[in-house]
Amino acid sequence: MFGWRGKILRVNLTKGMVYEEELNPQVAKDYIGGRGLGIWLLNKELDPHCDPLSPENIMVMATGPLTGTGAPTGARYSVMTKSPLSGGITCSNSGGKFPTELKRSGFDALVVEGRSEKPVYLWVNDGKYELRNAEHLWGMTTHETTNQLMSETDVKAKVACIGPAGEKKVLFAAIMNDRDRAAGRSGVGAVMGSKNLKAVVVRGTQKIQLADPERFKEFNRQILGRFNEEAKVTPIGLRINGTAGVVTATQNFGVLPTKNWQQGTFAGWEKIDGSELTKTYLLTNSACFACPIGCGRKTRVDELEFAGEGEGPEYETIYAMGSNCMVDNLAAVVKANYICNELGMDTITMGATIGCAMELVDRGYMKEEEVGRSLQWGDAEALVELTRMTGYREGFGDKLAEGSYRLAESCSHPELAMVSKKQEFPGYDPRGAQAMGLAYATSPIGGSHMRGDPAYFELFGIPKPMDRLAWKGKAKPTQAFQDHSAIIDSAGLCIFFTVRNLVEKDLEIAPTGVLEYMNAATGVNYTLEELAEAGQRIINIERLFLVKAGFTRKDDSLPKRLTEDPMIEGPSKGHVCHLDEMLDEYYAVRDWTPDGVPTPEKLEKLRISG
Amino acid sequence: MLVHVKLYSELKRYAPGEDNVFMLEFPPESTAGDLLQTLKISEEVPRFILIDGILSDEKSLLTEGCTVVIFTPVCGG
Repeated sequence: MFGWRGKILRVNLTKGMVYEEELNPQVAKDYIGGRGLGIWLLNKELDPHCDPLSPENIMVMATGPLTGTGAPTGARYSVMTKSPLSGGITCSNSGGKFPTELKRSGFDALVVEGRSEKPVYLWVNDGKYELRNAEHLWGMTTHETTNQLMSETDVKAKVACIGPAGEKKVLFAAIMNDRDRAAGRSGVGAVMGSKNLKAVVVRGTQKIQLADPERFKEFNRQILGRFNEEAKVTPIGLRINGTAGVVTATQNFGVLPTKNWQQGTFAGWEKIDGSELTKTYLLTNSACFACPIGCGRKTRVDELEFAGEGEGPEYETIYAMGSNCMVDNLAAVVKANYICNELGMDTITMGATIGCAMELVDRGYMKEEEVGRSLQWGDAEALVELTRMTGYREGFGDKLAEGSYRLAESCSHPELAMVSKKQEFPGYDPRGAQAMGLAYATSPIGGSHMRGDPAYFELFGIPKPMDRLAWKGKAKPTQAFQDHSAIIDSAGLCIFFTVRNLVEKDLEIAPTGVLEYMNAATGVNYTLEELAEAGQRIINIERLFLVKAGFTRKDDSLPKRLTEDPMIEGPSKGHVCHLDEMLDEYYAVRDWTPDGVPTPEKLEKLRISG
Repeated sequence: MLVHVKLYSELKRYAPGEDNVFMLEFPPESTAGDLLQTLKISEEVPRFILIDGILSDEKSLLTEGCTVVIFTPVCGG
C-alpha cells in the first residue's frame, strides 16, 4: 500500500503476545486511518457497555495515511478508546515526532487489549517488537520515563508514556509523547494505566512510500510556497504568540470563560495573554514534524515559587487555569501546566475542575475543611498545589481526580460542572458563540474544540465570518466542520494548517487540498464526494457506538447556566445559548431521528454495519 | 461622535500616546476604515477589528460611543 503502511500491530497484554495483522485496503479507504480506523475497529470489537478501566476495553493508537509523509502538519496520531470520564467513545490526538516515528517503524496502528499482570512497555524497533518489564519505571514522571527509556533502547527513539496520574487512573490522565505533547483528553492515560502499559517506545527508519511522489512534491511546493508568501505579508499569529494569543480575542468578544463560566470577561486578562507570555517566559517556539507554523511554546519560569522549564501553556490551559479560576498569575498557570505535563494530565479538565471546586466552596456547598486548605477565587498557590495533589491522588486531589461532574454531583450540585457528556469544555462561552454550544453538545467525546470548531467562523472569520450571536442556520456549517475534522484527524493532519490552507474558502469547507495530498500519497483516487462521505461515515459510526452505549438526545446537553442564565456582562451580555433550537436543525441536517439516532437508511448509505 | 479605541498585541504601537486605550472624535457616517487611516494603520497590517464585540471590517460604520478593539489576528485553541 502507498501512504498507509498496511500493517497493524496487535498487542494482547493479558497473554503477553504481540503480532502483526494486515490493514484491509477497503477499510483504509472508507475510514482513512487515525480516528476513523480506530472507531471502525472499536465498533467491531468493543462491547459499548464495558467498564472503561477493565481489561475488556481496547485502546487504538493510530496514525493516518499523511502522517510522516512530509505533507505540512502531517505529524499526528489519534488514541481511540472507551473513555472513563464520559463513559462514551473518545478520540484524543497529538502531534510532535512520535507519530511519524511510529509509522516509520513499520505500522499504521497499535491495538492494545487486555491487561498485563505487571507493568510493561512496548518497544517497536524498525519492524521488530517486544514487551519489556517496566516495574523500574512505575512511579516516574513522564520526563523521567522518557529519559530512562531513551537510554535503555535508542537515543533516537520516541516515547509516548503515562505518568503517575495514568498509573493512579486519574479520570483525565493523558498520554504524553515527546515529553510535552499530549493526547490529553478523556482519560486515555487512565486506560493505558489500567492495562499496566507504562509506555510505547518506537524507532523507525523506513521511508513511507507515496503513490505519486512527483505529484506530491509539486503540490507540496505550491502549497508551502503560497503559505510562505502569505506569511511574509501576514505574520503568523500562532507563531508569534502561540494559541495563547486567543485570550485577546475571547476577552473582547466576551466569551472568555471566567469564574467557572459565571462571566465572559476577566479583569486580569492582559496578565495572562499570549503577548505577556511571549514577553515574560517564552524561550523559543517549537514545531511538530513537517509543520511550517511552529505554535509550540518552550518556556521557563525563574520565580522561585513557580520555577520550572517545559512547554506551554496553550490557550485552553490559560482559560481553564487562569480566567476560569480567576488566577491572573501567569507564572502559576505555567507551573500548573508543567505539573500536568510531568504527571500526565489534561490541563483543561484539571483547571475546570479546580474552578468548579472554587465555586462549590464560594457558594457554601463544600467546606474548605474538606479541601484541606483555603480555596478562594484567584488563589495561585492553591491552583499549583491542588494540581500536584491530583496527579498523585493525594488528599482532596483524590476527589479532583474524578473530574468536575463527579465532584459537583457529590455536593448535590451537578449543574455547576461545566461539561457535556461529563467532559469539561474548552474556552469559548457559547452564549456569545452559538455554534460552539452545538458543537460541544454533539461532539462524540463531550466538551471539545477538536471535533469541529465553529470558533473559526464565529470568532476568527475562517474561512468566512458568520454572525456569532445568531443561532439559525448554524447546523449546516457546524456539521461541515465536524465532518472535516474527522477527515483531518483520520488523515494525520493538524487543523491549524488545514482549515486555512487546504479547503475551499467557504463554509462548506470542501477539502480539495486534503484530497490532492490523499490521492498523491495513497493512489486511491478518491473523488471529493468520497472523501467528504468518509468524514460523514466516521461521525455516524461514532454516533452509532454512543447509541449502543445508551447515549441519546438528553446527553447532547449543556449546563443550564449556558442555556438559561443570560451572560451578565461584557460584549455577550444578555445572551443564552439556543441549543434546543439548533439541535432540531442539526439532527435534520444529519438525517438522524429527532432523538439523535442515525437512521437505518443513513447507515446503509454510508455502508456502516452495527 | 466620540469613539472608544483599544489597541492590543502588535497593534499597540499605533496608539497616538502612551496609553493603548483612548478616545477619538469622528464625524457622523465615519467607518472603521477612517479610524485605521487616522491611526496610520496601513492595509498590509494584519488585524481583527471588533466594534462592540462584533467582528467587523473597514466598511463597518462607527456609532456614537461605540468601542472599537483592534488586535493581531489569532486562531487556534
